[in-house]
Amino acid sequence: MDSLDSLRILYFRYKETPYYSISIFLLCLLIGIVLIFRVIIPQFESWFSINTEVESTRARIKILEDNIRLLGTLDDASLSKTITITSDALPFDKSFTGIVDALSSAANDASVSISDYGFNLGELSTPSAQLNQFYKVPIRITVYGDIPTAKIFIQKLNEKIPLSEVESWDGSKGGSNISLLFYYKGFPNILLNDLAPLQPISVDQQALLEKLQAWKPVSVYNNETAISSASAEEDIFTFPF
Amino acid sequence: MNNDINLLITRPKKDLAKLAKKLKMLRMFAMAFLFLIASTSIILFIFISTSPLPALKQQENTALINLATLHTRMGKLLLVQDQMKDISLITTKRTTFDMTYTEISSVLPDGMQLESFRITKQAVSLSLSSSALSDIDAYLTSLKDLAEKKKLFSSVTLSGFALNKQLNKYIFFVELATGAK
Repeated sequence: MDSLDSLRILYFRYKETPYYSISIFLLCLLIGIVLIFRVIIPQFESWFSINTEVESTRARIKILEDNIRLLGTLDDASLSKTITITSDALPFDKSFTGIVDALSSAANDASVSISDYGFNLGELSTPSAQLNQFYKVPIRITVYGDIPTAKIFIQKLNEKIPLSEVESWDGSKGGSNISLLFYYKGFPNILLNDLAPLQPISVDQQALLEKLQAWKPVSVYNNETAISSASAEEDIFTFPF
Repeated sequence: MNNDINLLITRPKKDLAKLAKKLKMLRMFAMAFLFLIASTSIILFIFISTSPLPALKQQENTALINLATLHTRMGKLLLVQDQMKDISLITTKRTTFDMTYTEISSVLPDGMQLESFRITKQAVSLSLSSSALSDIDAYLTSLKDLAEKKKLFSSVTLSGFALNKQLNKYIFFVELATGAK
C-alpha cells in the first residue's frame, strides 16, 4: 500500500510538470524501439522470405507445367521408335550383327568386296564403368578394289549405323586396309529431375534422326535382328521410375 | 502581495505557453510513433496472412503428382536427348579420310601417280611416282598451298626419294602432319 501511495503522490506531484510529459514521451519512444526490433523487423524478414519463396515456387510451378505440357505433346510409341533409332546408331552394347550389316551394306553400295574381318573385342569393362562413356569396337578390314572405290566404301560406311569412324586407311592400287572403330555406349544413368526444364527434340536433332533412320542398313540377318530389336525394346523401355 | 516573497521561480506567461506547446508536440509525436508502429505491424500481419504461398504450394504438389505419372515418358525423352547429344558429337567430330584423300589427290600433277598411302588422324604418308622431277616440286607446292589455305596439314615433308631404274620413274615419299593429337 505504501508504495502505491508513494506512486500516487508522485503522480499527482509531477502530473502537471514537464517531467511527466517527457517521461511519457521517452517511455513511448523506448517501447516503440523495442517493438521495431522485436516485432516489425522480424515481420519484415518473414514477409520478404515469403515473397522470395512465392517467386521461387511460381518459377518451379512454371517449369513443372511446361514439362507436363511438353510431355503431354509427346507420344509414347513415337518416343520408343526414336529410342530404337538412336540405340541402333549408338548401341548400348557391342552390336556385332549391326556392325556386319553396316559393313555389308556399305560394301554393297560401293560395289566392292570386303574380307578379312578382324574383330577385336577390346576391353571388357564392367557395366558401371561403361556409364556415360563411349566405347569402340576396333575392326580391321580389307577392301578389294581401287582407291576411288575404297573412298566410296568409306563414304557409304559413314552413312550407316551403328556409327563408325575410320581410324586409319592404308590404300594402294590393289586394295585398301581400313581400321575402323564402331561406337557404342553403356546405358546412361538417367536421373529424373522434375524441376529441370525439359527440352523438346530440336529441329537439328529431328533432322539428324531422319538421317539416322535413312542410314539404317538392310539387315543380312533379318530374323536375328528382329529378335534382338524386340528384346532390346523390352529392356530399354522398362524404366525403374 | 509582494512578488519577492514567492519561493517558486516565476516564469513569464509567454515561456510557459511555449513550453506547453512543446510538451504537447512531444506527446503527439510519441502517440504518432506508437500508432505508426502498430499500424505497420498490422499491415505486415495482413500481408503475411494473405500470402498466396499455401495455395502455390498446393499447386506445386498437384503438378508434381501429375508429372509423376509421366516419368516413363520423361525418362524416354531424356534418354533420346542423351543419345542424340552423343550421336551429334560423333558425327561432327569423326574423321573424314575420304575428304583428305580427295584433297591430296586433287592436286596431283598429270604425270604423277599415287602408288600408296596411309592416312591416320595424326599424319598422312604418301608414296608417289613420276617420270619428271618437276612434278614433285609442283606437288609439294600444291600441298603447301593446301596447308596454308585449308589448314589441313601442319607440316609437309619430303621424307624419301628414289629412282626405279626398271620403270624409269622417280619414287617420292611425302609425310604430312595434320597436327591432331
